[in-house]
Amino acid sequence: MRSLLRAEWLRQRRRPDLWLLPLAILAIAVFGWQTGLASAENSLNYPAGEAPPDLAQQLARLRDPYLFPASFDSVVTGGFLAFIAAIHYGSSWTGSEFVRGTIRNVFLVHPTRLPFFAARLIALGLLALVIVLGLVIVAAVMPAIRGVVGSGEAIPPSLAGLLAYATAVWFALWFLALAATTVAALLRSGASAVLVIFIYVLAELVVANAPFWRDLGQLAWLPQLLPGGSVLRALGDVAEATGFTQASTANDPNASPIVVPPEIGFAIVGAWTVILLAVLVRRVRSMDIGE
Amino acid sequence: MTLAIETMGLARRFGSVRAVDGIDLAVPEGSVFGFLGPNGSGKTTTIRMLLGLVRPTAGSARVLGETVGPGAPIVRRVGALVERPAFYPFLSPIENLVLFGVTAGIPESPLRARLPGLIDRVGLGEAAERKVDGFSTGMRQRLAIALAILHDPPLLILDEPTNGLDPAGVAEVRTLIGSLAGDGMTIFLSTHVLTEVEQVCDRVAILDHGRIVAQTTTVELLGGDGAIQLRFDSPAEADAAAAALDRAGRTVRPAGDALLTVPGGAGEGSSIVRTLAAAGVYPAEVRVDRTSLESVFLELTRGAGADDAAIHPTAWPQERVT
Repeated sequence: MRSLLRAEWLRQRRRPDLWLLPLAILAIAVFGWQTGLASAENSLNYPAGEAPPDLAQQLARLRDPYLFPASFDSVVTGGFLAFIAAIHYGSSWTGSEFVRGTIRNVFLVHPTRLPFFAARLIALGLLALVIVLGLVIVAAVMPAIRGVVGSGEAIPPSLAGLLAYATAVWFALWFLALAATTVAALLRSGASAVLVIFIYVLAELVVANAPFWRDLGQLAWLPQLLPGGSVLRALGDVAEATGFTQASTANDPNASPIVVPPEIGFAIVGAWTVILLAVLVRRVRSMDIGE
Repeated sequence: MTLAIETMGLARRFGSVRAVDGIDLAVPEGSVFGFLGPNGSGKTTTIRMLLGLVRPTAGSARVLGETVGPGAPIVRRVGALVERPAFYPFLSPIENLVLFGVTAGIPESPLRARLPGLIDRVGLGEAAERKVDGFSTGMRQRLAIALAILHDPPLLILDEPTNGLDPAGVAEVRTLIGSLAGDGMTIFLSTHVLTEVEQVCDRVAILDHGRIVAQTTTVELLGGDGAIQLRFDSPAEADAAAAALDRAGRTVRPAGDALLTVPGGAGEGSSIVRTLAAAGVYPAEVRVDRTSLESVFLELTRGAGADDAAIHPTAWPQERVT
């Protein structure tokens, strides 16, 4: 496995997307944090000059979410490109092996196929980890650079909570990369995989938000079984449980009348992970390499 | 005789098309085995099955004594060049070879140390640091050969190794194959360049419409239908020679003034001359008319449908090696 991981590094380190995308993600995360803070500060529409004490305190409260570690949530929201990047890496890295035909060479020099894909998934996990660490650093550095002062009233999320939320973000990225890898292996093409995933996401959005689910009574939770929504919901549950966000579904008119508990939500994501891995393993083991 | 490759009724269908139709191959260890066939005859599919890239729909194959299929570990010990060599275009030849070598589990330091020599051996020395992206077909082919012999395999499977090479490159590859065979490597060479096979292969199998229509030694394939031409100084000497050979039980055909043709392979020339010498007749010239591989190949594969092809094995040598 060590040699396969080393080979993965030799293979990917010269790809421009390995370096450019994470930099773009961090740049957008910085921009997202900055615009979020500016938007919060401007929301009171107070003209320039010293604000009265009660207004200053209100402004400080608006700045609280932009202080570390709470800032991680705004950075993750700003760095949404990371989720698209995860799909890109998964589909492009695997798809290009088939399009170029290099998968044949790989299976000739290392005929046992599964370890190659295991190394690929580990590499994608490491890359996702680097991106998440980058987002944590942005979340920590930006408030310090800007000298943001909060109200001192809010209880900030704990570092353990940050670790849990960052782990959830990391897993969500890896899950998307796994899904993209599996689809690319099924279709033998990165571009086709991206297209299929894009169409699927749109389809899931339409299906999951269709009004007829509400009429199903006790079965209204069924769309929550879908993979895309279940991952996002699990991520939201972790953010809420760790104090990064507040529950918002109460005011959401589209929210399902029956919400699966977070534990069940995590189990659904776990089940989808197992399903994707099983499909990938089956595909890799049995596929003919005609490239 | 130990076999490096053995197939038993190996077959592969793609839908209703029988790409490979139950072939029995026997490639002895240490041989240079030519695998011939027209385009679409099933050569590459056979090779892909031998390398575990494609699953057979029937039959089985053993390579270096082990059964092959997708994921078979024995493939690691085989060096292979499959048609249309593929590499990472954004890496140099050295980086590509290091990457695949490391993937194969070869320690990186010794691997890097021997790569310059290997790159030179396949004639890519000057392009060693360039990106593969700008390589010609011939250069990719050379790099693929380097990859195939990277781990000194006991068996080398080459699918059209001279594709895209210039004449000098073709000659170099031929020499390389000869030198690798000299090192004791078994070489399975799939090609439709017949001169290549005539010059380097000691055994040959011809595939047509997914079936083997001949499998034997190159000498037997080429010599089995040959003839020996005898020229004499006078028609009288030719008549005396014809009578002597007739008495020895040989078929003799007059081929002109003072010229006789005796059907037989190259190995029979000395026996014929001895017969003539015993009768006191000496030919002015003895010439072996060898059947060219091209004529044999065309004879065996000329527009034959699948049903026709099935007839050929009885007409041409099919030596079973066990």
